[in-house]
Formats: sequence, C-alpha cells, structure tokens
Amino acid sequence: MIVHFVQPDGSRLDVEVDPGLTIMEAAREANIPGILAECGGGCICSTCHVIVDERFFESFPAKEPTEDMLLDLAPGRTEFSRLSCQLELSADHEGLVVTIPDEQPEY
Amino acid sequence: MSGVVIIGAGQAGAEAALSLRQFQYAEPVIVVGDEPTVPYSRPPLSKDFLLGTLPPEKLALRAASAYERAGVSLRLGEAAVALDPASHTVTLASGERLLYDACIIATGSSARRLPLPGADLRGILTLRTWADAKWLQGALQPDARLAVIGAGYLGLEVAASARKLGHDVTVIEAGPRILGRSASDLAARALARRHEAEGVRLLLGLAPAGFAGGHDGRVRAVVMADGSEIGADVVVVSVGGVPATGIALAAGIHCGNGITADPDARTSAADVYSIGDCAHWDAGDGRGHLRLESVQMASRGARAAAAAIAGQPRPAVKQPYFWSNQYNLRLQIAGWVPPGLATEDHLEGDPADAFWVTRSIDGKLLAVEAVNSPAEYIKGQQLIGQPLCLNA
Repeated sequence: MIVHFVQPDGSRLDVEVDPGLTIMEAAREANIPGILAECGGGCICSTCHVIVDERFFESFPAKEPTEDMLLDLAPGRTEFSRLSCQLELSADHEGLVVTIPDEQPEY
Repeated sequence: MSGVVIIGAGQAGAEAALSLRQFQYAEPVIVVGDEPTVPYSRPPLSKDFLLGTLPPEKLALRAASAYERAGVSLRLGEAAVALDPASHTVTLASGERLLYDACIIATGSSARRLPLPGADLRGILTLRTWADAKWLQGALQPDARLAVIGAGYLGLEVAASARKLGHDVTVIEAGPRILGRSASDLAARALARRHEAEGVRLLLGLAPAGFAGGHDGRVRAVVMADGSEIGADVVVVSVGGVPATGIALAAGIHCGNGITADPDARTSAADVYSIGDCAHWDAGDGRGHLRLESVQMASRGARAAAAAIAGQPRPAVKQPYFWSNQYNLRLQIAGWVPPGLATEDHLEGDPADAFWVTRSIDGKLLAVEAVNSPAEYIKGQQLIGQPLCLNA
C-alpha cells in the first residue's frame, strides 16, 4: 500500500508501506525528514507529531489522555494532529496523506 | 569526495547516517560497526526483550532495507582499529583503509567491570549488547538465583524483569541508596520500597569482595567483605559505563570524561566529530561538557554532527529527558540534576503508585521525576528553568 508524506514546503514522497507498521515506523523506514521520533515510539516525547488526512482521521483509535497532553507541547497543533507512533496502518489506509508540521517541539 | 565514515553502529551512529541524508548530504556515508547486527535499540534489552515480550525483529531501529534506500552502507561485524586525522583515514581490522572527508566517532561505552577475585567465573556478565541479553536470557533458567551488583537504572530494570520471571533476586549496592547518581532521594526511596515489596532483597552500603565458584567453573555465590556469601547462579554486574575512547586517544584527540566535543560535536581533530555515549559533549545548553548516556543525547548529538557536516543550521537545544520501566512503574524524568548537587525536593502523590518529585534550587525548577504521572512529566518539560511557585 502507498502512503503519501507531505513536507511543510509542499514536496511529497510516496512510500510503499507494509500494513501493521505505525506511521512513525513507516516514516523512519523511509527516512522522512521532520519525524524525529526521539523516544522510539514510547509516547513520551511528541517529536513524531503529524497532521493526518481529514478523510482518514476517524479511522484511527481515539487519543489516550497522554497523547493529547503531549500534543499540547507540539507547535502548530491542529484538530487533525496526532503522534504518529500511536497510529497503526491497516490495508484500509491506502492513499493516506500525512503532513509533517513546520517544526517539531524543541522543549 | 570520500564522504563520511561513522565509527560505531549504535543508536548514535545509525541516527547520524540517516540524519545526513535528511539534511541533503549527497556524498557516500559508511557506518562501521563491530556487532554483526543491524543497528538496534538497547533500552529494551533489560526490559521487554529480557521478559520475552518484545520480538527480536522489533529491536532493530530500522530494517536493513531502510539504509539501502537511504544510500547508507553498513559495514557490520567489522571493527575500526585506527583513525588518522592527518591523512583522513580509518583503518579496519581487515587492514582496509577508508578515506573520509568527515569522520564521526560513535563508539559508545563499554560496561565497567569489577576487578575482584572470581570475576571471570562463568555466569557473571555485564549487559550492553544484544548478545549479552541473549546470553542472560539463556542463563536465567527456571529457579536460577540472580544477584545484581549496582543499583542504577540498568541493574534495577534487570532486577524487576527477573522478579517478573519468578527468579530469586538480590541487588547489592555499595552506595547508601539506589540510583545514587541519577534520582532524588525521595524518588529513590519510593522505588526501593517497591522493589522490596516485589520480593527483591536490597543490600545497600555493601560491596562484594569477590565471587565463589564451584568445580564446574560456574559462579555459586557473591562473597561479601565480612566473608558471608550470597548464593547466586547468575550475576549481572551493572556498575556503570566507560566511554570507548581508545581509538580517539590513540589518534591524539582530546578526551575528558569521554571524547571532548563542542556544540557541533566537533572534536579537537579537524573533520572528526564525536557523539553518543563516548562523547563528553557541550550541547550548547549552558550545562558545559556532559556525558549523559541516553537515547535522546545520542540522537541529539547525531543531528548536531550531521547538520554541521551537511552545512545546515545547528538544531535547537532541548531539555534532557530519561525514562525507565520497572514492574508497572513508568518513570519519566525531565531535566537533569548533577550528582551531588543539593536541591529542594518535593514529592506529591502516592509514593506507592503514582507520584512526582520536583527538584529546584532557589525556587527555579531543574527537574521533574514522574512515576506513572505523565501529565506532571509534561508540565515539567514546559516549566524547567522557570521560577517555581512552591506552596511550602
């Protein structure tokens, strides 16, 4: 399946992804800039903040309170913001567009 | 152009290679690592991996294909034995010489060993690598008694995992308390009580004098200074790490408590950088040169070096943070307090379950230690360095 990663400057990279990976893992495999994932997926650092395709937003499980609080630390949070380490991809996510925010938190 | 040669394929080395590509660096990138495995994550070795709840394939930081796609060549199972800054060459154990435009030393740290009688008996090990962890897993046969020497994070994590697996566990710590260099007294005491409640025998202020073995050459006990013995079939020595500075020292590069590196990760030798556990790094955050062994410091150093080499602006400075999991306790620490610095510490919450400790000096917050309290950890990240209103 293909997932599209869009950089803040509008450039787009189409990535072949195996279902079962998280968006964060898929981004790291493809070495997508802007998804630092410093803590390696532990939901502790918020450096894997992404903005999820509106069309698919509801298809992911709702945020746990910790994720919600971590997103408060993320610059440029929108109503479609998520931590990509918490979003597992399934075959239904073919064509998903993931947008990288302008900056990742620098606390 | 010869490109970049990275010595060391741990978290720091691997992140540096991939960061160079993210920063649009177009020349060859070679990562030399003496372990045979694709770069992997070390923190789970004492926790989920030891417990058997993390499949080995999830330990790799990325699949091998990710490096291929990024045009990074991994030279695994090969040791770099010499670095010559004058000729810009790295020599491998095979005799092969690699020319570089920039070299990043990311050799990590090795486990400190105890020069005690019997320390070479079978069944006594340190935990640093995947191979060590597999060895420990194999050694922890049902009913095996474990002794852990040193009550830092690594030792306590191993103790917690072994208790979960049902082993008899004794932790021996020479200092007066656990986590003597890395946590507040309040947090350390709460964690110590939890370990004891879980059935860990905690011996504080006591150092081993040696190890006793059987005729089979295997350890059977830790021998204490008073001659008493603590029966053990497996001993994990976790008394800190030593920066792997050998290749740098031999190259005449300046070292302190690690390889001295400036905010761009540059060492005293031209075009040579150092990052991760082996680096004594001035991260440019006003704290001066530090050697903090953490995932975050490894990846921050990696990005700093990669940005400098690729001619990109220096990445922003962040607060250090650390984490540890023991039993169902999730410890998250924001900020850092130098060992021995006297701070005003306040504990809130329930020390047996979810609590947090704020550490401050003159009303200024330096660190927050949060146990099962992610909201307080996050608040700490935002408040560190700012005046703290204490309702004391």
